[in-house]
Amino acid sequence: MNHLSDSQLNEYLDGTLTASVHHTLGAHLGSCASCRMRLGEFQLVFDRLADLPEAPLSHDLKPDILKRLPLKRSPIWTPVFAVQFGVVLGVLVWFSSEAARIFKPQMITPTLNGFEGFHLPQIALSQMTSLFPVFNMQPLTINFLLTVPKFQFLLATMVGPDFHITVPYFQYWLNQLPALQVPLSNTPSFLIIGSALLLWLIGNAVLLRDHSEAKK
Amino acid sequence: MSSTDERSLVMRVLQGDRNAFGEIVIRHQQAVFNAAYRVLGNVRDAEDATQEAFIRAYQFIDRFDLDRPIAPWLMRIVVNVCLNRLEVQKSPSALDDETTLVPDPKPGPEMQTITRDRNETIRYELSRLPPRYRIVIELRHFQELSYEEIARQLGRPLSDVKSDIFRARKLLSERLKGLV
Repeated sequence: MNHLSDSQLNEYLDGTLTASVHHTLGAHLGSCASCRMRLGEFQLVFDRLADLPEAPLSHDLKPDILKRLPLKRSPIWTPVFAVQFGVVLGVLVWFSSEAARIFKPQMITPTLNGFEGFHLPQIALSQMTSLFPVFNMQPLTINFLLTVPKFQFLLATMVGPDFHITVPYFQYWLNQLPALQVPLSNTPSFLIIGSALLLWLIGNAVLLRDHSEAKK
Repeated sequence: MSSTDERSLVMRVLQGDRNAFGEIVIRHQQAVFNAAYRVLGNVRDAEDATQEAFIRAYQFIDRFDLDRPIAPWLMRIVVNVCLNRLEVQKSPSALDDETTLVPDPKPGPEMQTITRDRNETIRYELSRLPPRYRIVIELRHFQELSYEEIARQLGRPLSDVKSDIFRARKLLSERLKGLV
């Protein structure tokens, strides 16, 4: 057997060889003084590193570290945060719908169960367009609707020859978007807005508390 | 420290208790500093890296697996901090360069008479290794990771990692030959 390579010697010491290879190399080392000497040199490195004591720290790093810690850890999606987020989102939707009901009463449609509803997406779109003309998506929508018939052939191939999409079909489909049900009374709205304000105040109080604790 | 202690400390940190994090720092700063010192080769950089590692740990503690011990997690963070520092300081190719970092000076003749200590020499020779060799020596010998774990942590091919470990040992072996 030739002399062992550095890789073999290293892996022998690391114990990463299979049992049979380890045994074979061990047998060679038993009979080859040169390889045994090289193995000893590597073994010495292992021993020296294992014996190396830890260097002492010149001073306690804790005060510096605590001083440099960010006031708030990275936001995490805790259940509490999820509930708060859901409540705030609900309030925003509710508030938008109330505002829309006041400013766009023509969009309100009667429903069967004594509530009134309206098509929120259309209202949101028209509100956005009037506030920010850059968001005027009406030409885009019309272009899209005009493009649909061009794909008739492809759709018919995929779905079947009897399938037809027309522009009126899409307009009908858009009108079927879910309508938000809004109670006539404003009381629940004010209750929710009040709760949101309360949450906001509590949140600020918590932030102030953390800030003062961090200063301590 | 028992795993239950660690777990409750981390839980307290998650609830916003900064003093609990201070306790974690006290318990692990020595080990984290030593890992940084072995890789970076000088005390000041090692202390900075230690601080940075703990701050990162605090920021991302919600990602820590409570069923595992915290020490290996902290060690992984500090090695990554050291790697980033080495890469920022020099171009990646310079990680092979033996002169990339200036190690703490070798003890002068007077100091040598006092601290002519085998361990000082070993530490000095470690700091003279090219940074990429220091990293693998740290991970293999001090953090006792397998070749595969090292390759995963460094995002490098297994063959490169093995080759670096073997070359680093060879270099150290040659340089420590005369050491009694």
